[in-house]
Amino acid sequence: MTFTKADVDRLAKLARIELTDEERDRFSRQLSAILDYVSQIAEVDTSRIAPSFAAPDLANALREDAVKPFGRERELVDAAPSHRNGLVAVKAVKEE
Amino acid sequence: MELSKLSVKAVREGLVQKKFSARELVEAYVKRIEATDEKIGAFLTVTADLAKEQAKQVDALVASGRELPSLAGVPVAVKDNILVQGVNATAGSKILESYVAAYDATVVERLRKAGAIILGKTNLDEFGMGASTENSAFKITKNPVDPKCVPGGSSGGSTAAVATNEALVALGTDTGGSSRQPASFCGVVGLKPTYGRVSRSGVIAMTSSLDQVGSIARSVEDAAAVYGAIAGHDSRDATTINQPVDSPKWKKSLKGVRIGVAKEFFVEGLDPEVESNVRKAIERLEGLGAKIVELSLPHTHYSLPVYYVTVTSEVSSNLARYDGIRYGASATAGNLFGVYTKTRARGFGPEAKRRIILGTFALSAGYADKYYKKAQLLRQLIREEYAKAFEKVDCLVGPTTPTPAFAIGEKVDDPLTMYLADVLTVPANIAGLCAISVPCGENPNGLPIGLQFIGRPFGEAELLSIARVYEENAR
Repeated sequence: MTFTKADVDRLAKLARIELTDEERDRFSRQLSAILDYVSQIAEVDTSRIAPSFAAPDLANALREDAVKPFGRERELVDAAPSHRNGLVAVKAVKEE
Repeated sequence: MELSKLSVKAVREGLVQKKFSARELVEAYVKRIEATDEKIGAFLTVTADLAKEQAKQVDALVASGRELPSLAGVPVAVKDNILVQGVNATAGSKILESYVAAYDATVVERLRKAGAIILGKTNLDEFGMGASTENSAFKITKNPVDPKCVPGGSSGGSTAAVATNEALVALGTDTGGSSRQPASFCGVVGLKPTYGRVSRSGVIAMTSSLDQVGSIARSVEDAAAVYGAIAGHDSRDATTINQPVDSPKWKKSLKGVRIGVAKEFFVEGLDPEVESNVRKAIERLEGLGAKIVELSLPHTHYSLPVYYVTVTSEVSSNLARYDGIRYGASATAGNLFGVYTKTRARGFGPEAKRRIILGTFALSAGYADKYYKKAQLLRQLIREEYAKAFEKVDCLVGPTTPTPAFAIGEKVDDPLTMYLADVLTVPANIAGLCAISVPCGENPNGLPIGLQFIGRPFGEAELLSIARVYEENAR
């Protein structure tokens, strides 16, 4: 399977990344080669394998539903590129 | 002060016996960084003031006569994808160029508690994606052994710093070999603990099911000391296991130890000098009492494609948070969608973009079963294959990398060729094992060659003790 420039464009939109024409072109070639390489995983019969988590010895690691104050909320909000009155400022989510 | 002669033990003895103070130690390392780093480029941020402050505390502790914690006075470099409170954390990316960490990673908290002194943040491939540190948005790091060559990646800065005595030990991360491969390229030791041994809280996420914090040092004993200080359950990371961290029992021989050699580790394209050094090392292991067991791991080569499907998928999810809203770079645009797409267009380098796009594909409707899910099934198969091997052997051995360090610029234009450099390190990550690279000679051009030991899940204590026997007898 190959990636066309249109494929790359569609995926980039999903991933919220604006690409240049040059990138569309370069990535479609590079990604086609990589996809080709990773597609070999289809060769292996995994029908007898049950899906498992990365750390199979761990089951639901739960904690008490109790609030522990973090204490550095100020630093977190200050890190935002745009903030007002202790709140992160964002452009309108829905346009008029 | 001869920095190259120091070790964690020697620092402790030196402080206790008043041969030097922590302040003098830090001054020597800062001086070394000032003299060397313009050439090598290991550091992105040097935290000289923080280090001097920490040294003061260590000296006060020494003066008090109280028992010193395990890493007292030890100068450590921290990879720039691990958060140190109040210090710039870039993850090697323009998108976090101005980001200042609001809190310490758990591993950094533990280093501080152990009395270690943080010298600075080191260079890396952007978000840990790469095998040469050439994907850093900020600078190239040079291999101290041969500055025309890469130090390896993604923890190239941490490794170069240790190799050239700009730090005594360092923290790296290892998702597919990023602490072991640079260790192999620079002639030092790099340990990857089992997934679940070391907390990932405060470690900027790349691949959540594979990332681990690695210890980089000039000796197995020092790597073990760092690992011992940072490992252990953390309530802030639900993927850490709740099991005690055993200290290695150092020994003198490998009598009774069964070491497996998989024929699949001698891959096509394996550099002949790497092969001959590794085979000599295996003979030496036998001479030290080990029983060498030849075996086959027929699916191990699938680790690499499984790795790249898993990594790209999880990266596409983990890097979605860099959207110009809560932290980092932010582009001006007419609407919210524009803020996202322009911020990410400008903030991410090409490798990050490639992986995000491929990962978006591998997780998308109609393809997720064929790619991501299939990769996880195959991953389980590989894990079971290794588990079977560990019924017959106590550890596996082989080359860490197919070749010694390559030249800067040599592989940077072909992503797939760069990916193949990881072929021998990714299996340990994919199969949920621990692994360590130790130096095993050089090629005729003086480039270091690395020997990799792979241990069973949570078998770090045994792995370290085996690696150390080799190290002690390798000269």
